[in-house]
Amino acid sequence: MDIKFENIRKCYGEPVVYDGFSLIAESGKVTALLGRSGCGKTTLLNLAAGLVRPDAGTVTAGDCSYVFQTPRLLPNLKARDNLLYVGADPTRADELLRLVEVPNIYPKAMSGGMAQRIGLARAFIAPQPIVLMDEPFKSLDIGLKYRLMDLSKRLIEESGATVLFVTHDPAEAEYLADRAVVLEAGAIVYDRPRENDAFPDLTATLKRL
Amino acid sequence: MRRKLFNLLFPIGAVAALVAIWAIAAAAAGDRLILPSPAETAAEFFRMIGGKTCGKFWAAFGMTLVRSLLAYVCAGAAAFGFAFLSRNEYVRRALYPIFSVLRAVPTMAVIFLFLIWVRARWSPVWVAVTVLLPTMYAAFNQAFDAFDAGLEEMSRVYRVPLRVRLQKMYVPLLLPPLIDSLSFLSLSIKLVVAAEALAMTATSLGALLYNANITFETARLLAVSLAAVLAGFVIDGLTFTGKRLLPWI
Repeated sequence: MDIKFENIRKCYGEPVVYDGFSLIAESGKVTALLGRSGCGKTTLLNLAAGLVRPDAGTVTAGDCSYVFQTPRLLPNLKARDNLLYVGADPTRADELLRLVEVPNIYPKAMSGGMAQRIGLARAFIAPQPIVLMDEPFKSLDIGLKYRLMDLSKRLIEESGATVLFVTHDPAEAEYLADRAVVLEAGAIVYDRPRENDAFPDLTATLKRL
Repeated sequence: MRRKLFNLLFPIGAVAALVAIWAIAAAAAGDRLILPSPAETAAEFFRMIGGKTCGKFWAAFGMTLVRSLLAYVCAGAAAFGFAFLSRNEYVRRALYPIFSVLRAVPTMAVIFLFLIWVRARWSPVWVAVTVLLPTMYAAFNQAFDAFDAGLEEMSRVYRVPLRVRLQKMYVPLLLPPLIDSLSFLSLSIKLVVAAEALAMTATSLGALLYNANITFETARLLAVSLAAVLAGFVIDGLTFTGKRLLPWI
């Protein structure tokens, strides 16, 4: 299912984040959103998730899963129950726990990386047509980051979901995404599909922001 | 192990120091009508709880506890309900002046007014509810304000049904502040006893205090106070134990 942003206007008080913004994230593809901090990347995810409403324009998106920047696990539930909380088959929960290599413990006993893995597993526990990911690999060490990206790639391919994925790191975009979109001042300044496992001039574009 | 021993011995040592100071002060006063010694008070306490007329004490203790519990439950339920409704900003603003007034009214004024309006048997309950309500409301408001909005957002995105949210998120995560609110039961006992003393409520710790005062039985007065203090300690213990039973804390 496509995610469509049509003529979006969104303000937070005085600052206008988007004014007449449009974007279509194609069905079954991974679209990476990049840009400076505060340019409105997370706002697009929140609009797609229905957490915020546009001041004008329309957002078309279906049921979604969301990998938040912080894991947002219920502290009173162990790992498995956190997965089951969003409504899923217990067998699938056990399988995903094994895949993400996290024992069935309370969040207070988890490292940051473990909690992030559970957040990722939760997004794929009950397949949704749309997956939103907000800097899911932030603050992870390199080894863990690439293991999680490999896992994410596998889970995304299995689910066939439409993915909108926010990142600051062009390397993450090149590893996971089919298309890279760079945002600046509420507009798209770069929008290219992957060519030969890379996005031409992406890093240069980001440096110029 | 050493730490546990220290944690146990330190409060015992503090209580022992207080008792020692009390004994010195009683010896200095030299008059048991003014200040009985710890030994005299302890003797009176054990006579009160186990002597020939102990039935009268236990009946009074039981009724005071019932009134205190009733006041605590009523105030707690109302405060929780108001705090939940106050998540709406307009409701919160409308309630603000009401609770400000309730908080500011002198406790003695509340007691005297309820003595006029309500029968002596139940006026202590009304007094305690009126004084507890704004304090518990503020505490529950804080608990709701501190509730992680990120968890609520996550639940919305994943379309978790309300029943599941209540069962697996709201109730468990609001348990710690609810357990903390048990400490208001101690305050309830204090308020109820004060109101009972002024209202001369039959079968009450307050009435026992009042009678001990007018007959200059200072040891009896202190013994009754000790009973109320010990009840408070038990409640504090329940609060402490209650939270430790929650495995995720």
